Amino acid sequence: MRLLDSARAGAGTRLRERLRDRARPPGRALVVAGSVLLALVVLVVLVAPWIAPFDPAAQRVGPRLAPPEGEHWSGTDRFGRDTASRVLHGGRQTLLVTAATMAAVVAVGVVVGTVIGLAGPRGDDLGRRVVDTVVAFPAVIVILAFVGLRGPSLPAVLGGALLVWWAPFARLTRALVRAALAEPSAVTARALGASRLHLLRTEVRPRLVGPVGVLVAVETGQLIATVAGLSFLGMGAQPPDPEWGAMLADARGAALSSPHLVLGPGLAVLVTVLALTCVGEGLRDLLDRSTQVVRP
Amino acid sequence: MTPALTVRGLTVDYRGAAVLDDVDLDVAAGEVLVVLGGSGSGKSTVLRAVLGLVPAPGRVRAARLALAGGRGPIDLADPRARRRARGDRIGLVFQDPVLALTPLRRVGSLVREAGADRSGVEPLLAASGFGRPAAVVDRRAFTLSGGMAQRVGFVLAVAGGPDVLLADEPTTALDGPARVELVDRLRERAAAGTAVVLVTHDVGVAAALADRVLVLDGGRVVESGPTARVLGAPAHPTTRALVRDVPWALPPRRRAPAKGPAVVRVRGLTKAHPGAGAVLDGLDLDVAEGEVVGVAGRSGDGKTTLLRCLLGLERPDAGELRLGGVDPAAEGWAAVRRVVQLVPQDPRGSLNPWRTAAQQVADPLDFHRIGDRAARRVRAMELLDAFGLGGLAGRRPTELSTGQCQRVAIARALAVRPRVLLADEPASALDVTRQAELIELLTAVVAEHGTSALVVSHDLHVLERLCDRVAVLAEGRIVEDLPVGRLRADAAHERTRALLAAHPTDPLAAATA
Repeated sequence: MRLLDSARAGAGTRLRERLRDRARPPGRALVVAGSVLLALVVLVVLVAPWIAPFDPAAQRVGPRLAPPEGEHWSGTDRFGRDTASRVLHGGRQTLLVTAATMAAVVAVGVVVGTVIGLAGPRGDDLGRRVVDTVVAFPAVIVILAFVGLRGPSLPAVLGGALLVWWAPFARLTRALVRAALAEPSAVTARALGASRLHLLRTEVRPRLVGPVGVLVAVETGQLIATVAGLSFLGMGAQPPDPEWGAMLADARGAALSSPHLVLGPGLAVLVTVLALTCVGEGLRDLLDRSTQVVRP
Repeated sequence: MTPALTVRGLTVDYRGAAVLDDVDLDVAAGEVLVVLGGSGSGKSTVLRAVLGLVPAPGRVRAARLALAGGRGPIDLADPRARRRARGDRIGLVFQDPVLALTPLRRVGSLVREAGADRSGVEPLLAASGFGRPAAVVDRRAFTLSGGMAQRVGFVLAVAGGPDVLLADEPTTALDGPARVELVDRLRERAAAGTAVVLVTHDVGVAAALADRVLVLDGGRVVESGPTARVLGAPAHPTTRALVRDVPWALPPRRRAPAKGPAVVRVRGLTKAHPGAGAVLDGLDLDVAEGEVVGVAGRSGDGKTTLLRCLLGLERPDAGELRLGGVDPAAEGWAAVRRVVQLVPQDPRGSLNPWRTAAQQVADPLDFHRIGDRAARRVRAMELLDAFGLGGLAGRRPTELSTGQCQRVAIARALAVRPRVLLADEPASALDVTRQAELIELLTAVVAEHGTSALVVSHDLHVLERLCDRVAVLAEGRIVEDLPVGRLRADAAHERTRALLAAHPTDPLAAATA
């Protein structure tokens, strides 16, 4: 037994352990609340075609700029489109495309990070510099430049995001790969004759899943907020497609007289990003040994 | 005499599972109490509870937990009083001094923070064994060697002039001479009137230092009393096992030295680390077929570097290697590893926590494409059976005891039927009972399979029981190379003599005579 304990058990084991912990370690409530909220958002958005009361693109389904009441319980916009239906359908577009982008970004980031992590000192140095440069680049500027080349559209925004968003994943993966390969179990396996592939499969992968999962949750929230922001500026989704940021932009002129137009999409973005942030931050607390409570 | 530290009815539990059960303990000023116990006996928890460092959800209850001394009594059950007492009235010597020092801080600043005033820093450092303390004051902690960090850690513990000095397995990470040095320091503190509580599994340290010994097992005090009585005539089975299993009490190795062809041949091995200079400097070493050779040396003398070079984990700067009849430079390390396998230092840490025992024992067969999947599985099961792990094939390391992990690690090293086993401090992470098992197991394995072995360790007691021949590594070279039987009589080099002095034939003799 030691007073200073070394960190060894894998993130997955540790997460399960701490989620089950009745003493409610920090982060547990965040993860549970965030997951429930996120599940709710995804569920509602997925079943939008069945629960949305109106066609989101159909104009004049009611009076223009109607306040929330009766049939249009969240009001209508300046073309007389039902706001609730548009928020529900807008989320479909936003979540689906963001999820696809995230999947691509994680795949690229993890592969690049692994390659750098396995490289020798010179390759590591070079790779790390490239990744750091990309991380240092403000994402919005790169996306704007890409949109400038391709013309404003949702795919252009996400294409631009693809160019930069992989870098934090590459950086994290590189660090995790190096750390995992320095673990006694990995060194021993190497000395016994293990191939790189075996080491990646058995030593690196289990140590990668937890931290990368945390980053996915945090970065997805950021991406959604960025996409909504750029759509608001007219760079992303184009009318008449419903999208949360574009809807906010659309509501700009009438925001003071018809606040319900801002409220719907605004809340939708807020809740989604909040849920993802809660999950991310909570997971990080749960996996981080340094937050373990020691009595004063 | 009034006790400096009084503990009555100390009970610690984690969600109902008791780690300590009704422990009483007294130490008087100037007295050394050694708390002995194996892993999991709760001995470290005693210190944590005294310091109030039991992690959540641990629950501490005690009828009395109090400190007395020249500066007035302190009730350690009161968190605020306890916080003031820590570092000032109670000092702590950590097990791993390197981890205990904040790496970027300077030694002088650390010592001042621990309670010494500006003029007191250098005398304190000098008193703990630094020849030129002025040179150490401005160094940052991460630049210290393990031995230096141990001395600084000791200075931090005593800088506040504590009434009670606690030490948590302080000798475990140290080599023999460093252990002797630390024991001397602790004895000096006790002579100066400090009460010392030392927690250890090392009976040798207890014999050298203790006035009284308290033996813990399963969270209960099973035996306590004067050192000579407890260690000389142990009454409880736990104490008897601790005394019986010490490596120096095991039967010595008696075997005619092997005279076969060399299976390990090292010539002119040289390796320098940037900033540290030459670690290995033209080292020559041979291991004959069927022979077990020990490489002894102090920490920092290049034992680990030697082993890493022999395992292909580090590239030597110069020198020739021939391992198991294979030249790694010409035929590649994969071919070497086919016939040379590793018995690791920390059995639990060396196993992959997510894979089962059977999978891991079959791994080397997989790495070297020996047999098909079914044959590998059969071989793994045979090995596990042979090591008494037949029913545990599907278990993962977290579901195995340390002793079982150790057997899995050895079974894994034997899977490919290697010609040579390399063992890295195979006993240092284990308590004495496990050590005794390991020595027996490795001896049997080597005899049965006819493998040769190279064992690297700082523990001469272990090497004497395990090896046919012991080579002493110092300043990057082999300075002494003798058959085990002649080691104590014929050792000529001062390094060997220092190691032998730190590992007397019977460390218990002094205390129990």
